[in-house]
Amino acid sequence: MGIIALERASGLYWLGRYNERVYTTLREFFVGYDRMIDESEDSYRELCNMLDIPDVYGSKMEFINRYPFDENNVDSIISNMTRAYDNAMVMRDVIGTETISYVEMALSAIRKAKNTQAPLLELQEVIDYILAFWGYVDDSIDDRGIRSIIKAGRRVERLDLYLRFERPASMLEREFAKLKSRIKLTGLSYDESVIDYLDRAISENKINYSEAVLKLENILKL
Amino acid sequence: MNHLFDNSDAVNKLLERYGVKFGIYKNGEFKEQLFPFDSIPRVIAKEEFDYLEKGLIQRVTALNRFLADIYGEKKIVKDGVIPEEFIFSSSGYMAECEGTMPPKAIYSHISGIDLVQAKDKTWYVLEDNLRVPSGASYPMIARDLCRRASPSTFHDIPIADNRNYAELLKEVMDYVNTGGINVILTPGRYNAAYFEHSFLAEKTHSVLATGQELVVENDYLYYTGCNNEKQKVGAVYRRISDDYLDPMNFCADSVIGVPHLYSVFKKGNVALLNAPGNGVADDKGIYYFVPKMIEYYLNEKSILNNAPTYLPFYEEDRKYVLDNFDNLVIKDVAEAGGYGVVFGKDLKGQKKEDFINLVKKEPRRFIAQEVIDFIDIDIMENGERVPRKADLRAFVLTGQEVKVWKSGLTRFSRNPDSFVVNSSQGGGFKDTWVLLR
Amino acid sequence: MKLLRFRYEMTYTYDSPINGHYFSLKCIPGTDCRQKIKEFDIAVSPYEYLSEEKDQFGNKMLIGSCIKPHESFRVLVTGLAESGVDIYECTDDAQNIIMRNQSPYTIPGDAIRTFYEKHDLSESASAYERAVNFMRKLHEEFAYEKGVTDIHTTAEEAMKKGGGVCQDYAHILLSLLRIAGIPCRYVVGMMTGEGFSHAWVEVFCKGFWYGLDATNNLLVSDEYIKISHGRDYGDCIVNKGIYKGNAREEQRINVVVEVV
Repeated sequence: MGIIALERASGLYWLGRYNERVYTTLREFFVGYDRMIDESEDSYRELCNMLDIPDVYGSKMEFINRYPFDENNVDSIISNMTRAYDNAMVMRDVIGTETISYVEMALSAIRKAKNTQAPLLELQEVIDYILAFWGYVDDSIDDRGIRSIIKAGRRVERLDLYLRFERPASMLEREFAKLKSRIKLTGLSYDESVIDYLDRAISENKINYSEAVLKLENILKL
Repeated sequence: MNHLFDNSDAVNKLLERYGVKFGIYKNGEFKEQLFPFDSIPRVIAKEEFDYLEKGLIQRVTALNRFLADIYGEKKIVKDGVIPEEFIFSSSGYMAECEGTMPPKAIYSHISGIDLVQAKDKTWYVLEDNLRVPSGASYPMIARDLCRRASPSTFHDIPIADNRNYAELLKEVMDYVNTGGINVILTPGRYNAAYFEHSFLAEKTHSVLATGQELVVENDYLYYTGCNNEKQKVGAVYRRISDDYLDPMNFCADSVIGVPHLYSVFKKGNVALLNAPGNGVADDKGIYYFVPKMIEYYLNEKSILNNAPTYLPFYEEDRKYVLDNFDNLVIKDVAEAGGYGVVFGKDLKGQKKEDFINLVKKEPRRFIAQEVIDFIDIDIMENGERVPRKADLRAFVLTGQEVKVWKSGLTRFSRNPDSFVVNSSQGGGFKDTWVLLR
Repeated sequence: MKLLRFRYEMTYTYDSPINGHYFSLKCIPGTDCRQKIKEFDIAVSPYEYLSEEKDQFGNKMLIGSCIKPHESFRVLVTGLAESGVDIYECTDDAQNIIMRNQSPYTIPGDAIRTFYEKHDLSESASAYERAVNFMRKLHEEFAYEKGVTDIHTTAEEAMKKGGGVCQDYAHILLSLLRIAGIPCRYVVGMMTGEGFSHAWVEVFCKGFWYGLDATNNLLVSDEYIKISHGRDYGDCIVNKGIYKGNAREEQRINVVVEVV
């Protein structure tokens, strides 16, 4: 593989981001779900708030039923999974049919989970497929640039979500280090001032979380 | 072999896993549908395929000669073999292609020839597809999955491997390539055959591109990278039709084409597979003349039969068509994909009268054919074997040599009364086995 | 024989910038039996690349692009032509087959067929005589009128309206001749005076091409300069372009041909 068109680089990047978004929000949803079993409080609101998505749910039960599965809501997990799929299927010649098949299966698993009594059990499959997807990306995509663009998407999204969840600096440090080394390997031009900003904020443990989220969003012009 | 049939659902599940789908517009909305696969194969005996192979090579060779002649010297017209009305009034004739010789003088690199087998075992060619015939990817991937589902079947029965389609295609692309990368040009993911475009790009190691990613500069075609670097393109397997290929030369409204692409082609600086202008040779009206073409260019008798066809354009044929209207199938030459096909017996009263008047008024627009009662092939439906109509699209690849892919796309109608097998009309597909002994 | 100095200027202005502009220009007169181009210059601005080629009928073209935003586009063609002999020899008979078949603009309908039945001379007349006769009759029955037709109007549509401009005269004459199976072609060119480009017809008869200016009911003389020919208007578009941008285009065309 020689060069890659801008639109396709963008597709790879967002493929990484959406897969990661589904993965991390699902894990967060699992934690929240577990908590909600014991509480009467609507702690889901906090999650909405952190993810910066409108609270259209009204009750924790509705949140549990709709946040993962509502295809008509653009912020739902299934919508993000669909976007991951949309970005995957236009990349067949770059990432291969086998790689795409894991995204395809993750999407069909989430669709199936929708109609079951204990969705958490089924949703675990989605997480499994996404992890298999990442495994296959590493195993089968030989072009380091291509692989790195997808993984840069993953790293940006992970850091983005951790910033939104206001994770401690020690946790951010680990994610940031991975992003920093990965983004250099993409061959894409990126905004180094964003790296410097995050480097300083995280190492000095003076993190303005919402500002950092905004900065991070513009690290790559894709 | 029964083992294979038992695993039919498993194969379909795998097809789903690998996204083997085609797109369809329903009520203005784009939807992806699985292309239903039936695991009972069409089996073609060795001698039978040898015969088909010879006939197909002959046919495609003549069709390529015809295209070079039509856009060049036009001997076949001057010699009165084909009336010129059939050429120049054809919607597939592209005046822009006059005098342009494609690299290596090949017009139809990938030809999809649609055949049916009658109950007496005679094969008939129903249609030539020389523009952008699709469908080879489906049996290719289905075979891979069937082999997983039932290894013993493929161990015990000597079946020609059909998974080499991509290699054959790549060979052709490389042969006509004028220097540069191979690209598959797709209109985008909302095209019915997008799966195939992307799958063939993967398997031929070509770059899948949309028109926006390609640019013409200084008489060459380039693929543009994200840092604005440019890579020369030597061959384009384009999966968009002539009209949309280049807004500067064909349909000006095209937003999926590449401006000035045709100029690069004209100067011999890129190969287009298939060449523009091929529509003049796979026109349903020209179909009638293909056996004559074979005699004219190759000095041989046509090996394959056309379905008995009448041209209302000729007075004698018109009379026959009107006298035998109820026994014939009438096709509008401008339509494709199973549309514009009318069975005489299905028309009644005023509708019939209107249609007959239309045929009289615009005879050039129609062809009429005897209805061939083609053989049924079993499919599995709710655990039972039931017979259904099926056709066969054979793929003929023309590069340094003319080669017939040892398989094909067998499409069947799910409706027991229907002869129309197109996927856009809700049919499914089967694997096609060519036996080696 | 006359020496003609010509100047063909096209200026397009846009009320907001356009970009991604691709163009192909067919405004380069060539040397043939009828005319000799003694001096020639073409200036295009702006452009990012330009390349010369010939179309399928041998007309010279200039193709190119200007991707960067711009608010105007100008093409200036100047030169000196020697115009004089009014018949051509035919060199490519394969193309005569194309030229005797109807093309997108010339497909006849009832209006043109009726006219044909009414006015065609017997087949004993030569192609040239039949063509001149059609031209005369057309001149009598079809009115020169601006604004009733546009560049998309076909021969049949124009015939039904009963009036039109040079493009329509030419298309109708082509349609009539092609019903008779006579090879004929659409010509774009210039004639002495000041104004726009002009269109006429060439008809093939016994090895020669004759120019007939149906709009003026004249045989093409040494005061005409031919730019291009094709089956119909669609093959002879002087400036074909596409661009991106939501701009209103204003077009100014000025053609001047003077006898030296």
